[in-house]
Amino acid sequence: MSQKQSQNKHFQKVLDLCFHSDDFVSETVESLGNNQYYLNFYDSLVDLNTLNEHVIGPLQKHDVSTLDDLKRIISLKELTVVTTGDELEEGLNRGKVLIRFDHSTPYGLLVPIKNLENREVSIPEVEYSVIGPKEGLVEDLAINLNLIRKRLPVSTLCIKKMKVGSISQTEVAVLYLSDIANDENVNTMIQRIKDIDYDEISDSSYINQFIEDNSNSPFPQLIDTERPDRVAAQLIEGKVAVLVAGSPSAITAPTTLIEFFSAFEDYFIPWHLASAFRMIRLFAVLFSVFSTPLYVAVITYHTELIPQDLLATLILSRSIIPFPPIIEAIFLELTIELLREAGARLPTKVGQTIGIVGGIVIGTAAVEAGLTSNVLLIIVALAALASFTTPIYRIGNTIRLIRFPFLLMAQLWGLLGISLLGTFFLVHLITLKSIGRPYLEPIYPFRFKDLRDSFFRLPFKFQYDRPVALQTKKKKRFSKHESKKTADIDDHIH
Amino acid sequence: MTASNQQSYSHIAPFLVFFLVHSMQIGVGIFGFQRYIAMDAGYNAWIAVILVGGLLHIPIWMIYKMMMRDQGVTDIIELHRHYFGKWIGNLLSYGLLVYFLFMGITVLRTYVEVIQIWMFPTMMTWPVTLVILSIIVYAIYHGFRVVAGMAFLGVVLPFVLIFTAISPLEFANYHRFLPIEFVFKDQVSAMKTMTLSYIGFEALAFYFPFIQNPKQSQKWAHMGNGLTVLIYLMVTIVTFLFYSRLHLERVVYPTLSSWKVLELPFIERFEYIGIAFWLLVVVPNIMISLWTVSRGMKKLLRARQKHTLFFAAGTMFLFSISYQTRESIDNLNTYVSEAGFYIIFCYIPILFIVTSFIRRFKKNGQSEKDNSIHM
Repeated sequence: MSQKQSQNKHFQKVLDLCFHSDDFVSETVESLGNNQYYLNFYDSLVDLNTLNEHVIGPLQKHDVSTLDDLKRIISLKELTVVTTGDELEEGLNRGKVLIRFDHSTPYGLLVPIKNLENREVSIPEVEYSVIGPKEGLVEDLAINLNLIRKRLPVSTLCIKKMKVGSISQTEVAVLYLSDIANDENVNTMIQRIKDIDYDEISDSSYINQFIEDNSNSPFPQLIDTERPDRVAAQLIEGKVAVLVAGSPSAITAPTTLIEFFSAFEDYFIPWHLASAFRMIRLFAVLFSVFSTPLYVAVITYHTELIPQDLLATLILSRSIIPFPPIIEAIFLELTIELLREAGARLPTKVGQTIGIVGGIVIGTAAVEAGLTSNVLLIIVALAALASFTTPIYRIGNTIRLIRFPFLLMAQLWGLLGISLLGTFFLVHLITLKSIGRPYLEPIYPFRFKDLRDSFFRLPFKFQYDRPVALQTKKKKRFSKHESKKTADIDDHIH
Repeated sequence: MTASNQQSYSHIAPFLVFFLVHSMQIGVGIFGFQRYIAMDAGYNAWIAVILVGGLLHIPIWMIYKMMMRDQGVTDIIELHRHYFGKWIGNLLSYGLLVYFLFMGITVLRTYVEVIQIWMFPTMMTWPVTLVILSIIVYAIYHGFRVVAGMAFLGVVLPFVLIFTAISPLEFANYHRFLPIEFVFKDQVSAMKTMTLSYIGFEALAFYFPFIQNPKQSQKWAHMGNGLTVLIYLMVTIVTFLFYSRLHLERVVYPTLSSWKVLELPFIERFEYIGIAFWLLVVVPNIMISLWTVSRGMKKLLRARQKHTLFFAAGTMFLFSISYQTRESIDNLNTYVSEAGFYIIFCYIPILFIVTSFIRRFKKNGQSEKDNSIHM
């Protein structure tokens, strides 16, 4: 009890503390009948136009002496009477104006007149799609919630808000459909967010790192997306979404490894095309991870593996290279990483130029100087290109990283090294979980039903069940029998 | 709902027994068993492959029967204790654990030997052994769910290799099979040799309590064994059609040698890929053995499995690196297969019969007692 009292700050002390800042303003408004009102607020947080129009104007015209009367003359909503220091501090820092009748009274009326700068809703840049909605989430939580709620006009869409970060007091909203989402998933999510103990939350990726099941894993275990349509679709599937104030990306969970390779655009194009593209993406990822290590392994240890004609090409391109394949490969891989990192840090326009110039010039020069073989240059460039096909940015980083241990193992033990590390990663993937649900599903635990939206995407008429992995309350999306009724040949003529 | 969910996370689905049984049976034996059975029974040895596979359904059935018969007895350690008391029962359990330990050592050491023969002749034994064991320990550390997962993937992922294994049929000589004869004595010795390739499914008696619905899983166990028979039969037939009798006797690893025949536009010498990929088959095999040993020790010693796991893995490591010559590895294989043969075809049936008698005896005693009370 005593601890709680000490935590409760004194009303006047809070005000004194606020006066240390130069943007904390104290105004006195005098009404027609010589009645005085004392206003306190941060002018950096308050919209002065509204203040003049809705607060100062009415105050000058009316004479009131009680807070209740004051409430009546100010035509704004969410007016609250504060008596504690904590409430006052929170209110003032969220852009509210304190109105009192006397300097020294430890209570007053809080009027919300906040003026927060926001970015307009714009096109999603990371998950851009040619077809489909072009709205992207922005930094403001209220706008984001608006974007999502207008796509899900049902009262079962629950939003639980909490504050995370001892200093930043960031608002975090957990979204789920209460009649669909599994309670266990929701509770795990809420509990894990509540357990976060940190002073500042800048972005949803902070939350992401705090609530991941295994934060030492290179694999992301939660999806983050900047598309409100994707969030809405995931909620309908029975997942839980997290929105963080100040972050333009939402987190959704539970997720699976396969989901990181599904672009939301896959649902906008016909199923066969979508499936083909998804397979290409998966192949691209495998190629990206394994091509350079395989090159190193084969050229270093297993030249017998390659047929003579192909071997001749390879040897020819390598004949003047003074380095062993591993040095050559690491040199090239690092060059690509450098270009990529520089491209990400530089402003867009400069970045593109540097990328092209650097890529072409360095690549060509390296081959001409005899530092690397052009076959390897092709492989490394293709691998880099392939790693960009992932629709979720986060998994691209993983692929970028895990290529290097594979390279080293390939140098150490050739094909065996690659398979050893591959086995290790398989075990690792099996151990992973996303909010307590298996990460490698539907491969293991094997769930045949969930395969229909994994490596490929079947037509919507086959997506009649929600994913088994999510253990949703409503298993069915629609009745499968209705959808399968088709007319017989020439049925319309009796 | 929550209760059943929770159970499903620590237990494994019944159909996974298919993969657990199958992955434990197929290991390194498949690289070279054809030569040994051909030495015993000539090119009629394929009959032995089917016969042993068929006979194995009996011990599988017996294990299921024994595990589901009594309440509270769900694995073989409890079974031993229940029927033979603490001392004799535990002693029998320890015997089985040693057998499983050596089964793991055999697979591990033979695989490393294959690598040393085919890929890296000068490679030292211990680094690779250590790395493989570390991966296995990492998996077991995360529980049986992961072990079962690797068993599943260890069957599904390398399954593509099946199609490459039939490539030597291009050069098949179908007359090598004829005449089909059945000489009982030869077949029995071939069957005994063949057993090594089939052992391992006995681990069923240890992971039985982890199966979610044991009764449903029985058909999967039988089917797993069925798939093993099919694969061995296929490999045997392909090998017999490809090699001549005299040629086969001079090849230590016929399966690997015949992989060389496969030629793709960009790959030759497919056995390199095959051996590297085979790690996925071998790892679950050793993993289940090691899991069995660590789990058994946990129950027998009432210790933490985290400790027994490291102890068992350390023992396995030390033993595997101590076998250095071809002869010693060959002997190890022979001893383990001999032990496996007796455990599968003698110990399990005898255990089954003895426990059935004790059970009937006890029951009679109990019902008499009941009767006397009633009277």
